[in-house]
Amino acid sequence: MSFSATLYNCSDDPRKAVKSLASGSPVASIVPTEACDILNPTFILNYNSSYATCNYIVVDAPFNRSYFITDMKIDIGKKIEISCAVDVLGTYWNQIKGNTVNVVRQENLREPYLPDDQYKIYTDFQNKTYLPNPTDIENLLAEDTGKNFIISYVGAPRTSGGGN
Amino acid sequence: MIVNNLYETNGRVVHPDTGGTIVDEFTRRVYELGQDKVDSYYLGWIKKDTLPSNCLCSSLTVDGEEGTRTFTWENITDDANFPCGYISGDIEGANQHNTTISRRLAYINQLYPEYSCEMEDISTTWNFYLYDSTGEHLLGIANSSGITIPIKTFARLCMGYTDASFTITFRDESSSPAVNRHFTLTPDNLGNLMNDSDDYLEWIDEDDDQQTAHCKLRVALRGFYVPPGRRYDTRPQYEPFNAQWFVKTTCTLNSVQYDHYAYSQSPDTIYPYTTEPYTGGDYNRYGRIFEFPFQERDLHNFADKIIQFGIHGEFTETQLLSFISSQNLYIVSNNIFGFKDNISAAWAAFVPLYKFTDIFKCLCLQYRTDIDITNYPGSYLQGYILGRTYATDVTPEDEFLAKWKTGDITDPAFKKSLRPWQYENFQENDFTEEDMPGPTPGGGDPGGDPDDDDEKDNAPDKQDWGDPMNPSNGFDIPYGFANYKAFNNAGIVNFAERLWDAPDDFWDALTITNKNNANWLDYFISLRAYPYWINSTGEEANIYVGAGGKFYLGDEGTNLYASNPQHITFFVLNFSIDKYYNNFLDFAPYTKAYVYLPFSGTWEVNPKYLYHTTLQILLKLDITDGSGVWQVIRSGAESAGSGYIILEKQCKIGVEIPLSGLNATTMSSNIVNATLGTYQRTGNEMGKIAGTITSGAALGGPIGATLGMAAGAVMTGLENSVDMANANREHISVNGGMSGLAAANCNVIPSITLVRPIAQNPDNFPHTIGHLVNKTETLSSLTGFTTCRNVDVSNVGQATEKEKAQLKKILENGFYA
Repeated sequence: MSFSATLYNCSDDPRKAVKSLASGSPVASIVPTEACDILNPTFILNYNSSYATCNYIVVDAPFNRSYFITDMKIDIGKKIEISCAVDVLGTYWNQIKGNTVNVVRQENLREPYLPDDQYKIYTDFQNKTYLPNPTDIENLLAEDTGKNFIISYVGAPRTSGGGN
Repeated sequence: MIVNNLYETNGRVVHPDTGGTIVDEFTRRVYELGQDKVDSYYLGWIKKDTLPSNCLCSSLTVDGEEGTRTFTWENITDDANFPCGYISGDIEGANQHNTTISRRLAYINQLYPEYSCEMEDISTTWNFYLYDSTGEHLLGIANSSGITIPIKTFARLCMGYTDASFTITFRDESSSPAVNRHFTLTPDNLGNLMNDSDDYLEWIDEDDDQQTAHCKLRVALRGFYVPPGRRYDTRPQYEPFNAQWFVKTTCTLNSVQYDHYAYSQSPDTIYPYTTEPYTGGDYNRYGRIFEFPFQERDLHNFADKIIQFGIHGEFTETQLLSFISSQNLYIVSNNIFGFKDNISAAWAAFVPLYKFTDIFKCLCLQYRTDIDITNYPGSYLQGYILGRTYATDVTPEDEFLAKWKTGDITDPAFKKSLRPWQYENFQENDFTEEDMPGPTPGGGDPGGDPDDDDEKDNAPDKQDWGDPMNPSNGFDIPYGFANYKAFNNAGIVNFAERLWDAPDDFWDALTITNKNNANWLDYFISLRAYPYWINSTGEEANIYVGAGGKFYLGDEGTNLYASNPQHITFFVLNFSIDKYYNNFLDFAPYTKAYVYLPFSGTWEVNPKYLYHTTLQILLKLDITDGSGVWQVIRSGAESAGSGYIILEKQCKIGVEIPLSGLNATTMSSNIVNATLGTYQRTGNEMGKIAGTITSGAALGGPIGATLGMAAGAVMTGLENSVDMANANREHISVNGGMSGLAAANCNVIPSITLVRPIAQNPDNFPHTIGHLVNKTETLSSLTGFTTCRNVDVSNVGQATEKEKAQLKKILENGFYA
């Protein structure tokens, strides 16, 4: 029993949903070991020097899954044995990408006015004092002819001219 | 190498340097100038051939009779092609051109070795404005009495650009006896003292036709008091001390020492330089000497910046010469207060006006400016020229504050523009009583419409009150029983003097023969001093007291004028406060906000009311009893509840000056004392405000008392959730109040202080941790790091249960979409 597959070199974070895969190296026939675990299978394929730099494999039907290559052994008889672990995110992204989810944290979305317990602050603080606009202060404070004193006195309407 | 070119007024080289012939050519053209063959020429010295645009140049005009011509060298810095200094001076004698030019070149040579001119004795009066080899920095103003080092040079010294040295001396009046504390600044030790001096010293020349007229200096010296016996580089950490300081700057140049002085008007806080990290908020006050050449137009240009002037005092020549030199004005005191991104600076300058025998009458110019330094990290001072060349034969007609002013006296605007003494002159000549401005003294115009604009009634016009809070909802208080008059400082002095100078029949009438037989003091109800400019209506007029308005405190020539104040005066102060973090940290409980209301106290408000609005602090001042109401109003339109009062506090602003007493001596003494107090307050108002703000006495105290609470609340808030913030959001607490004279000595400018947390998040926070979102989104619409909650992956039919569990775990723990 053998399957077809394509080996890739992938430099993306394993948590990236859509991997950036460079041009792969098709393999016409890979043979799983006996009692193969579909989530962590081990395959045997013919030796090719280009395989040594690959760390990601997409296995066609009936597996229809993408795997991280977790280990690689060069066996006798020009055989290579690769141990794999399924990339569930890469495998099923196209099926779940239409799902609506409750997003808790996001790199490019933001609700800045929700208190975020991930923020770290110093025990110190900063204070800033705002003064009125300068023109308002000028109006508030006495100008050259400004009045600063108010006297209250008794004096009925003047009925005659001045004079002491 | 000197490259001497002769320039026309348009900057064109009309006679290139041909190796020493320029003086002859210049002399020839001067001769032609004297013969009216040419209009004018400029003489320029190109300092270095590699810097053709930097040169010393001057214009030459001719004046005077043949044989005794005076050639004046004038500034041509207006010419964009000649951004350079100038030489001014007199060249006496038509046949002495060559010699005089050589003398000037010789003096340049004295200061700048790159000029190879012969040194000769100089006996004429002249000024040199000398620039360094770059042509950009004014190094000094030299004249026959010595050399004056402008502050720019000081700055350059601080930056180590020159080899000169300064000795700065403080006179510590707090010690008994007073002692001088001094140290010498050199480029070597200055760096130790200043610590990153480049951060604090930088000259910024505004693009103006008066290069020396506009100067800005960033914080030059912070706490430059160094106790004797300490090494300058140890940055001693001493407590601040109060002293009435003076600063003596001594410039040593070419082995000649020149001294200049600056004084504080009152005891000031001198801060030491410390190694403690600067936390912002209070730039230490400092004293500096500023002296500039003066041009008459400067006063006119900046007349609107002068907030107070008047004959300030009388000084003996000895006293005066300690303030000013014979050539330049020294701004002898300055007070500065402010915060990191807003600086208010006040300057007081004494300008000699007249000389009577041995007494000089001085004009005190106070200049105040508010500087937004948002674009300039670090504060700086801004100085303007407010000086003038001193002369003993000053004619008042030539002065800025002319004794006479021409104009149409029937024009209300012109009438209002008259200075008191100018107004007096109108009175003395063509003024009649009908022309007397202002309301009918005593009781107002019974027929006057209180809402009209004819200013013949005593009641303020409603439309003059402004409409920030619809004051027309109030009511008018009629005059007739008690009257109110507003005085400025000079007016209250005149008032006191007038009481003393009143003829005997005045006092007799008031105390003996008036129909109520009342003590004359009974006519005066109250006298209050206010820290703010009192809005007044109507023209200025004399005060009439007593029954029937028979007695009035003044007649022609007494210069006793007062205006009718509005019973309720409004002051509107506008604030613009933006969020700092633009996130939840800008709100309670993380950020706390405090409003400082003078004469009331510091009050906490919820910061959510402050953002994205034109925040107004309103003062309604009732001059009948000296009380006031502060209102903090949110007037923005962003929120649905805009335009509401978020804080309202009563206060007592008018400082009572006792009038009760047994005789006129008591009353006059009170008034005079009050006047003196006001002078002091006026002179030091900025300083007191500075002390309040910079030391945090008013703001920092209550704030400081709650800082622990604030910090604790922040930390607690981080451990909790939105509920915590909601629980604190409506919290407004009272922190205390103040009133009376003590309050008047505190900061009189309202302010708003925000105490914020300091956040520290890594730069890759969004990529590695992600912003908090809490929204429902489609996975395909997301990019970047994402975490989800309770993901449903049941639609992945092909996957095994292990795979679904693994997929769900990845989506919830974080993945990159």
